[in-house]
Amino acid sequence: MGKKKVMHKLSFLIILLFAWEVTAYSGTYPEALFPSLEAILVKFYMMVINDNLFGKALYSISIVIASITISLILSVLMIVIGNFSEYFKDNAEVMNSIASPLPGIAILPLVILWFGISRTSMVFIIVHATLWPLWSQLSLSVDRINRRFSRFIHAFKISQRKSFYHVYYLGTKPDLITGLQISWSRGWRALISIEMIFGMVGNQTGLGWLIYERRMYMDTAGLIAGLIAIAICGIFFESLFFRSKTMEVAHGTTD
Amino acid sequence: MGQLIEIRNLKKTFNNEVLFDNFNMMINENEILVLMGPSGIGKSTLLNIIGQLDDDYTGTVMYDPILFEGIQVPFPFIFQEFDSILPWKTVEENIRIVRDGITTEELDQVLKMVSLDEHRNKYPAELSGGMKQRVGIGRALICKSRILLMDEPFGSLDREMRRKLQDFVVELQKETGITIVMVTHDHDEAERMGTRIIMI
Repeated sequence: MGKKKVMHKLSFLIILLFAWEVTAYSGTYPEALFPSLEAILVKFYMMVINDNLFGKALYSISIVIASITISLILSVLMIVIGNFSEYFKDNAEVMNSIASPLPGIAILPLVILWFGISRTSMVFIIVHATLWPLWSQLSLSVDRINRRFSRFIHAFKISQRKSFYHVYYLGTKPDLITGLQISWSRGWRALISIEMIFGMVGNQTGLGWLIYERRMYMDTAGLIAGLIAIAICGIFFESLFFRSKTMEVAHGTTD
Repeated sequence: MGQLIEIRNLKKTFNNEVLFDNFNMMINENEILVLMGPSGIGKSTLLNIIGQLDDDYTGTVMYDPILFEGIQVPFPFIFQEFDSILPWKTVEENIRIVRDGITTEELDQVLKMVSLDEHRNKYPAELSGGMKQRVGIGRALICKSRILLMDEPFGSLDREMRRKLQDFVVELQKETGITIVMVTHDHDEAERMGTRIIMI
């Protein structure tokens, strides 16, 4: 990211925080509804120390990662089977058209009936939220690779092992990263919504329940601190794991 | 001049349209055979049949066993679209991928032949169209087969680059004695390069 871009973003953030602080101190709204930045930061610190904020964040993140891993394995399997069976591929497309527009939260009542309020239900909904965009992105990418390189693969008798890694894996890598990126944001949003509804599952709660609980206690500063924690997790994961996509595009080697 | 491939009574239909009916031809050693004809007549289909990429036909295609002796890729193709070069691999990696056990000497020799030895670590995005097509030629040469199949290889290049590569391929054929079967719809190209031309 260029210096100019960083400055643009930084200056916008400063203006936003300043506007917040001015509103908070102006007394236009009661402090219980519109706490100052200082109150939010103190609350954030207290939640890290007393409420195991990091533990809750890790718990939430672990569920999303486990679900995305399942979605990735399922997507690859579906694509491999689809390569051998046109019938399967056509019906995977039908399933994608049906399931993809359904928000995870919409199937929640059905999932609760099937699996109860459990970790399995959470994983099921997040897999539903992440599988279709991932499969769709990867499937299109593999189709493109097939169109472009299948004659080359056959003419030069490139082995399946070699073509899987050198042609398909490396060729679809930018789309794989994009698919994971979309899945991460969809999965993360779905999880927070589910946690707000489920509350405690087993002996653990996540960030979603944390903010919901703060609302019940009318703890607005804590609620906003929780929202900040959710945003930080999202931003942190996107920049940590998906930065390589930017690198690939910059490299000019994807298309 | 020995005969490498003979096609007898070839019949091929595509989408209920007869492309070849009792078609006969032979391919000799050490020649540049140009298959010429308008677009859609079946030139590339014939090349696919010769290169064993298409076996949906009737008739006989006979190959001299020498074409297969100790060779991993008996019918390397040079394609019309030079985007069949893998964009995420360097020039060297693009050539290495087509055959196992390529020695450094072999690779250096081929890179020199296609004048890409100074560009071996570059990615296709960093090369001109002509250079990309030379990667395709290098990729075919490293297979050490006795025949090269070229499917309108210079179709997407500008006139000057076409000329340069046409001369380059003719020189290469003279140097190596390799047989080349080339498909084109360009009269000038056919006359400039071909030692024999078959009109389809």
